[in-house]
Amino acid sequence: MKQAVLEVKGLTKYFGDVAANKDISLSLDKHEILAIVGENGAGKSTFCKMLTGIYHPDKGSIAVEGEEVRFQTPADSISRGISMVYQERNLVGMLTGAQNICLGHEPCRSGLIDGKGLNSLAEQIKHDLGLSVDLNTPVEQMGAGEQQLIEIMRALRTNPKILILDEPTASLGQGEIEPFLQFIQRIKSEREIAIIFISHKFEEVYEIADKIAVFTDGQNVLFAPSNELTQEMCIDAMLRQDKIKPLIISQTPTKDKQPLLEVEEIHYGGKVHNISVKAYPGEVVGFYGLVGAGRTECMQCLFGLRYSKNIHYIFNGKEITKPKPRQMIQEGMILTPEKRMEGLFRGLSLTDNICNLFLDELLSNRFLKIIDRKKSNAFAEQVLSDNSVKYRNVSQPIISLSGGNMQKIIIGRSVALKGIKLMIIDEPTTGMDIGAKYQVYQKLRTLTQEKNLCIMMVSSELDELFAVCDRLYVFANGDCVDHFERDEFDKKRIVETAVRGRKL
Amino acid sequence: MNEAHSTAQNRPLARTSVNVFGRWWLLILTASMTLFFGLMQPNFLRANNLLGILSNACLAAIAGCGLTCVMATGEVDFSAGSAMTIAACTMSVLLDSRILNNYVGAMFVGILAATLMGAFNAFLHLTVGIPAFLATLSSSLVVKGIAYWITDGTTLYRVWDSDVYTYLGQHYLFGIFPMPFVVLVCVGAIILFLLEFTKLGKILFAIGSNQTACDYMGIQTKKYKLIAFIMSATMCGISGIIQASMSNGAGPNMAESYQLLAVMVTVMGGTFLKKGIFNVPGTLLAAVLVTLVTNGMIMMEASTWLKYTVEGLMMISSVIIVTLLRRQSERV
Amino acid sequence: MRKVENALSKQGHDCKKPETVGQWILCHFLLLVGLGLALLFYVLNPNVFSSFGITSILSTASIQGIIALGLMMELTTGNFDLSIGATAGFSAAVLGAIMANASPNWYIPAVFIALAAAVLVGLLNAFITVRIGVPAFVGTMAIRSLLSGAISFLTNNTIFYSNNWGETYKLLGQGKIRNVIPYCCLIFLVICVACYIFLEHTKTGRYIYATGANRSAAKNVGIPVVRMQVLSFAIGALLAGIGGILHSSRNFQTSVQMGIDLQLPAQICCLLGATYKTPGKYNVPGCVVGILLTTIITNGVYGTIGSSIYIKSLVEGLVFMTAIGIIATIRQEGLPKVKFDI
Repeated sequence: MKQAVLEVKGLTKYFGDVAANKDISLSLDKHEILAIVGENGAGKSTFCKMLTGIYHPDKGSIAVEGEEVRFQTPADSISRGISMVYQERNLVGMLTGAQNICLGHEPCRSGLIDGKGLNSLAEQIKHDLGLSVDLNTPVEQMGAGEQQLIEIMRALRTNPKILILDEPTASLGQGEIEPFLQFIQRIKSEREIAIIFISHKFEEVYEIADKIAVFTDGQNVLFAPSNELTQEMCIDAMLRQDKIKPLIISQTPTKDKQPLLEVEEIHYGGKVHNISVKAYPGEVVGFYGLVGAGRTECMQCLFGLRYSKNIHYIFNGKEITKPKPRQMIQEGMILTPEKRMEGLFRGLSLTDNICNLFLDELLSNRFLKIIDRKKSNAFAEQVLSDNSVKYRNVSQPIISLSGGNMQKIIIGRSVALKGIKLMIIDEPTTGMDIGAKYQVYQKLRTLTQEKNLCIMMVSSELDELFAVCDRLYVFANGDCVDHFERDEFDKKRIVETAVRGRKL
Repeated sequence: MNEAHSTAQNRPLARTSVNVFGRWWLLILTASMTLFFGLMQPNFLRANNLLGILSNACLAAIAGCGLTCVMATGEVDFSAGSAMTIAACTMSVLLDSRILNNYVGAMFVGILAATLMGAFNAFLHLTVGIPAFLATLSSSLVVKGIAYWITDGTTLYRVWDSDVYTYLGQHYLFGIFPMPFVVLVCVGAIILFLLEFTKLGKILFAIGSNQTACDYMGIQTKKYKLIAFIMSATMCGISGIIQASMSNGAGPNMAESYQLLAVMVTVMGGTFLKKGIFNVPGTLLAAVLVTLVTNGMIMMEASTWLKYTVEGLMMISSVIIVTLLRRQSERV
Repeated sequence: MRKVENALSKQGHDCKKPETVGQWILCHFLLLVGLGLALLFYVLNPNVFSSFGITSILSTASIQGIIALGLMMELTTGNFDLSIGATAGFSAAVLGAIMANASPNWYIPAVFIALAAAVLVGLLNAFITVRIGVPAFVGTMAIRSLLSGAISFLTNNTIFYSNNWGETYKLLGQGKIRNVIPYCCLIFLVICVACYIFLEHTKTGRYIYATGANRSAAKNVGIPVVRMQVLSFAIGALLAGIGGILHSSRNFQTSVQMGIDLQLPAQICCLLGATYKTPGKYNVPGCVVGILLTTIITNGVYGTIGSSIYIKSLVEGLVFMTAIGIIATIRQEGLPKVKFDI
């Protein structure tokens, strides 16, 4: 019986109480491409990190060519024949393509690196793969696509049995994707190799994959040959169980005629992105998208944290052209960071973390700018209780709190700003348990209803967006591609839009 | 620095000992050293010796207070010595050559010179983008050169009416308090107040804790770092004036040792009470400790090598303790 | 938003194959500045170089260059070592102390012991920086004090020399081949070539570079980054030791001040060198050109304006500042780890 190159059984990984991966079982033969699809946070990268030895599985087994393996370090997995090419580039900028390809395994001759041998080895690999990249320039001078090819060549150099590619087409331009896919297929047939291809783009998946595994909520809910699955079935599988019951949204917000925020396009990263977003006071607007959709970047540009060329949009009736965070906060807009720790002061107390945003209002003496400690503590306590944060006392260090509580503080302090009109929150409930999530959702709805606040919520959990939002925008590839009103909410349609990258 | 998984973090006993011992060692050491030197050399405990130690400690303490502001933002300032020097030398040169006929005026110009240096440091760091420690290292060299130039490489003694010139350094207020100490109390109180009780302090520590979070909050990090550098250099300038006053003269290499000393007392201060966060009381205590130990060793006629070694040991221990304390507090 | 869009964004000059004259000038501007200044000084004072003795200048430059190469090794992995000069002084002091009490036959073993002492210092620095996690520039500053203490002890806090040292002691530092080429220069050239080959053409050298250039990429391909950092500290200290021994041989003395004096030229040279050819990347040819430039400037300035201390300090400071300023504006990743936060 032909032995599978890779056989994974019951692979499970916990982070604290949360199962990032649960009972993953799949198998792969050589000359096969397995595509792993799933939403953000579905557990794909955790799975790969277990295959490459970065994480150790809590339960289950991995077998390579029939032999069970336990990886302690990434080097172990490389030596066992598993290579991975990550989404972010991992090259040494000033070394040439050839040098990067052979990094870690340079051919030597009498103790020195055999430069000629290295170059010919790299050229050989390049020739075998039928590529035409220049191997003699420093990689930092190459485009993203070429850099990716260099990394793939590096991964293939050790003749791995299994090659894992994480969203390889995410950084490729339009004309580069097709040749790349053909290249992958060629490798698959010409070499004794199995390929795992992580992607969220169904066209690509169906073009090249032999088997498809759908990951949802840490489990692989579907695993079958691609010709047995339709896109429908895949998208259905991607949709999570309705774990979150939508909140009862009492009335559709009466749309003021004037939108609070109006954006048409944003120019960043060398490209013009069509955004076309409007936001009104008193509503929660959701922003959904898969990997690389560009929502966070867009929000950072609006807030002034990311440079964008000639940006101009209308906020609260004013034309904004050169946004700066301080200015935008005064105008009534605030952005919370996607990564929680970027918004918190690690070594400082709860009071400091909350009150640093309000220093001007917590002065007991305007002239000398003395901070009123009592007032600060009281204010912090107020914010903490308003947001149901469990704590011992306000002076305890922030890192003694759970991730969920820390997030509540970030939201709570943002919302406590005087004159706040628009709050942009980015992935607000990552790492929170369901109870805590509900508290956040309730709070958001209350804010919009009672204070007429506008909330723009970036999230990768469609359930969550359905529960809270009045309207939904779908982003893909840096642009805003579609818009859904609440009565148009259809999970399947939305996921399909995000996946296809354009309006259906 | 993920590789440095110091095993101390995983062993509770080691952790507690770092926590307890690490935070009180300054006080323990000061007390025990005083006792030690007192026993070894009874003259050590004489009033005028102790007052002398106090005066000397004030130099490092005042400079250290200024440096605490910069180090609160997470940057290191190696220009203490040069700032002290340029202030003292500018003042003395102006008086000596009779360009200015007013001690107070010359003193202000001297301090201004140091302040300008601070602004220049800020320029190098914030506008050009040079890492602070390199910026201050290089600017201290240039300013040292300028100091040598204006003084022609010599020490200027007795440039002015001694009573006025040495007032800040040698006079005793009400007969008991050495003037340097009085200045320290005033200046130290101001800095302590600013750092602990005002918006400025909160922001400086916030920048040192997480500059990205400050950006999200709309805090103008550049403006406040500029203020920190200027404050640091000004404090050092004041310290330099006092040093000149104490020796009734100013020379371009009088404050050379303070480049390291000021940083050292600030770092040592960070181990006191707070978990690796720089603070004024700690800096003051550290200044006293260092001066005390130096003086004690001189009294015991300890060899120079011992002095260097002790200085090095104090510095390395504080740096290690601060590092470990911070890692601990970030990994509850 | 501090992260760059593409982790390998195209900052800075491409100096791989300068295609226009303008680019060539930019790459090699350090060399051009050096030659230009040399010409300037010569015009101002035709005696400027000959009056000091070319071989003497070259010897000093060689010694400073060796120490600079040591510092460069450590900078390549991203660690700024403020104790490299003191390490050199320490190594020399150890040798001096041994030779003061031993017969000249013991010279070679004594040299080995002195170099071993230097390597031990390097390992200590590595321990504090890599294992404990203290930022290099702060930790090495503390070690510098300890080293000064050790040197002070070994030299009795004087400018130490001993009649027992004999002729063998002077040999390396003051001797010349055929009375023309100083041994120092020869040793420097050998070390230069060795460093160049090591960094550019051996696996370990490549790994050391990768560790500093992109630590996570290095880890991902299985490069032992901890070992590489330790190695860089050890090699750096070894080179510093060699430089120190040569220096004390040349001046026939050891002292605490020697260690202090050797620090700055090494720093300036390395940083200047990083602006040459491959901006932001510390490189051996850059160090060589850097040391030439430093030597030309210092000697030229002394010869024309005078060798007052203030000129020395001013010039060194300005050159240092310019070098880092250039690297900072062109390519900020080229500068070592900077903040005292963890």
